[in-house]
Amino acid sequence: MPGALPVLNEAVVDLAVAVALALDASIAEKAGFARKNYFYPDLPKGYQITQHAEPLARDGHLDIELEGRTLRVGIRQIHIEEDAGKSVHSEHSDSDSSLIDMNRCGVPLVEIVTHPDLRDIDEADAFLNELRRILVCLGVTTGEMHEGSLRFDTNISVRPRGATEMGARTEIKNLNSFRAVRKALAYEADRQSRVLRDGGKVVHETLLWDESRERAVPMRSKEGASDYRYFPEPDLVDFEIDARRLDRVRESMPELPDAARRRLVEVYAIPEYDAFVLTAESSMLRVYESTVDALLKRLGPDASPGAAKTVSNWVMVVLAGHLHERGITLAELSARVASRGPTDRQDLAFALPSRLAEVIALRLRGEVSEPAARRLFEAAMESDEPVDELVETLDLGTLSDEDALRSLVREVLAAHPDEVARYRAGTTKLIRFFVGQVLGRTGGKADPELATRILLEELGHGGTT
Amino acid sequence: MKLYELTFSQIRAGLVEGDFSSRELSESVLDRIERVEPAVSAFVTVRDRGEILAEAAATDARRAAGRCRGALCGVPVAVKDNISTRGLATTCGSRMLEGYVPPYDATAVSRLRDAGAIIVGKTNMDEFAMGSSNENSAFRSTRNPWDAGRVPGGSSGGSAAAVAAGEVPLALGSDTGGSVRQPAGFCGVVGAKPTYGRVSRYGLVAFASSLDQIGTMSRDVEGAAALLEAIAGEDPRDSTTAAEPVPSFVGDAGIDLTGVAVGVPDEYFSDGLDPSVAEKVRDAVEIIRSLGAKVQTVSIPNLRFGIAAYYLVADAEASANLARYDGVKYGHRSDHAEDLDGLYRMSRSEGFGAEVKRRIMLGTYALSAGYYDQYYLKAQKVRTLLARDFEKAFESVDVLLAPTSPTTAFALGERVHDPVSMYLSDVYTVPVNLAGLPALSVPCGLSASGLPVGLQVVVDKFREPVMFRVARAYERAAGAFPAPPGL
Repeated sequence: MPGALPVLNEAVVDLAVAVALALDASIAEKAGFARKNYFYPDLPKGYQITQHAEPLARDGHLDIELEGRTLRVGIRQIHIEEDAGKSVHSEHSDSDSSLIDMNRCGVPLVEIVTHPDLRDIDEADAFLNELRRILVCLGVTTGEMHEGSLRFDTNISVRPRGATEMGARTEIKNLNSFRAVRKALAYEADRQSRVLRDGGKVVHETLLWDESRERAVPMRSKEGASDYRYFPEPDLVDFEIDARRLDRVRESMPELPDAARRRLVEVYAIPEYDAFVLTAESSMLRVYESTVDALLKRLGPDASPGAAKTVSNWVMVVLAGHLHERGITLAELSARVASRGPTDRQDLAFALPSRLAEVIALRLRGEVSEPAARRLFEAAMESDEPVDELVETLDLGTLSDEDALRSLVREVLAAHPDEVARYRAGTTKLIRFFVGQVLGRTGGKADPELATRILLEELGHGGTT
Repeated sequence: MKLYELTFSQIRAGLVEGDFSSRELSESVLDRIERVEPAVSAFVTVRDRGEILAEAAATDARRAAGRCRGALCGVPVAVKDNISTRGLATTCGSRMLEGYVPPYDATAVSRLRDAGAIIVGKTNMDEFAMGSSNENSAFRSTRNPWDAGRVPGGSSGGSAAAVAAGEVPLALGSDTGGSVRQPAGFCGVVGAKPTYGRVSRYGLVAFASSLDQIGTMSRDVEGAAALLEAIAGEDPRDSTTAAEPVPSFVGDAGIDLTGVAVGVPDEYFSDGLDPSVAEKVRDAVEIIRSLGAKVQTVSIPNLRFGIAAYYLVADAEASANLARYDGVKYGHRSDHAEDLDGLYRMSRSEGFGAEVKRRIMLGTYALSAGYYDQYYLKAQKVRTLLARDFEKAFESVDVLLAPTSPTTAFALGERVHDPVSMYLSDVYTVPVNLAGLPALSVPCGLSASGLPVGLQVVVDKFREPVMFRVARAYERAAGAFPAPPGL
């Protein structure tokens, strides 16, 4: 609108400072904004407010682990700018109309620019993944690329083996997934190599990745693209990043994924892989640690050294599967579980871990079988009944009455004379069939180990021999 | 005396005493507009008579109930047409924004409404505030109420002419390089521009963001002060507003200026100054001396670089600020474009007038790669030097006295085809904008040819109270300034 003015969102400064701290960048004491001038339909003011001469931070780095070696990727600068609108190009490539979504105009974003330190697609992929984990952990972005909450513009150049000078680069935009990044880089590396092999020259240009055709096409050139006529933004005042702000941001920062990973391996003695998965999201990490705590309290001195690993299996497999099947987030599930329980503030964050720990404890004590424990977990997430009462209500307690189980075993053997004969003739793998039959008849409640032992005993008696 | 002829201080007293109502005052003002507007052309839009009178009657009712406390309650005010008014067309004097009706009020306007002021209409201006004569309005040229063959000045020429012609007692203008003070001087009214950051620019359609300030006009100093006081103060919607508290600008009507140190900068009385303007300004300095002020000569050595630096900085910012008029979202859109570039080019070619195009080109050039250091950056350095000149002067004096413009109002058409001579009419006003200082123009007599001369009073940042105090004392000592004859 004519007469409208921008105002700096202070929260974005804190988030950008957190990014700069996480990437070991040197943060400016004072920073300001500039106008980048160009005409484009998705830019309603005709200029973008960005940082030019005085970015928020410079000279950082991120170390990533890749196939047993450490790769240091240099960060050239980190700055704040406003987002432009989104041009929605028609799906029919022969149509010359485009739509513009103005909803994200003026929304602040943080841009991170690396040095040309990545040598192949795997390095790029590993770097972007680690960067994403950090940004999600810091709460800077949801990391959802398809929503545009995280976007990558990649620059790529190729050079003959042994050459010391970098080749001309191209920039690829419109990459909406990690898969697209890999595909586009492979496509463009290949294209540039062919151009050079054929004796041609790579033109420095910006390309748009066409997802449907898996091709990078040159972007319609912007007016005066080479001269943005930057000058200081007179509508905004410079902002200062003093020691107090730095301290405040530093204190509020969560543990970064890399540190969390190392700590999990050390404290809980779980495998590297588990630690990697559990630290992907801070909410996942919190649930894991709270569950381990709750479980250890519940088990007391009985706790086995493997309890932490058991919890990690439950969180990575059962809990993650539950979320995936229902298409909900961990935060949503936590809120749901908490809302059903007593409205104790303490309970909000701990309702889910404490119920999960109870299920695992019952399982570890052998009071429920593995399949029963899974059913108990589902029920525990969807009702507010105390977990131990759910065992009763759903009749999930382990069938450990040996006599009852033995008569059940005998019934099963009597019902399958052919299989019994084949077993005795040497097809011993049929034991699994019998166990399955017994478990089936108990609705999964029978302890499989006990059932196996009785089956072996009964089959071993030889009956008629 | 007719109600429309009253000064703000007479109106304020009359409303409080119950001598007349806001409705009667508004009626008198509206009748006056009907009678003189064909000759003056000060307004682009005058609001519906019925609506205005209903609003006025409502303030009278509030006053009767004791709920009309502010000095502006029930007082008609005109608003320059580059200040956004919700539901009321805001054209900036441009074809580009013809028919554009803002969905929101500028902060200054909403503060006026809160104070009970009655907005009468929107005043004519040079297109996007670029001009010194109102001849760059896309709609019509406002006439100087003192001489219909002369310009009212600009770019707030409509506001100045409306106040001088008795069409309204108070008006808002905007001052980027003198656009309130110069027309005030040309039309014989008081025009005040506050410290940069004193008044919110939210809703003021931007020309040059680092220089623009909304200013006030009135037939007396008290009116300009009261209107400014009502709109001043920090605004979270404009990051460049100052957190500085707003003291009383109106103050008391004391005439004693003992203890006030006055500086008269030599450079303001150089070759280009019309001798009859110089004479009136020197007379005014003597009156102020006679009121007890201590007068000394000071120096603003870099004054002569002001115009060049101003036109580079202002036009550079304007080139970006006016980029939003691209025919895509609002404003004029060409019917003849066949592609996107054509839409931009043709909408802007058709929508903007010649002066606006000239400034956009100048500003674009000054920011271009290879020229940025030479032009934009150098202009910013001049700006720093000028600000230092003033800082130094204010180490020894409280106020500076100088002519507002080198000449009195010039003839319509005289400078239209000579942009440089037009730009030079701002030579005494632009340095104040570059330094971010407050300044006002108060009428200080008529030239030999019977045209008003303006005395410029400049003070240090956030010292508006002393600026109004000196101007008010002078106004009282000099006696009532006449109304334009023959209207």
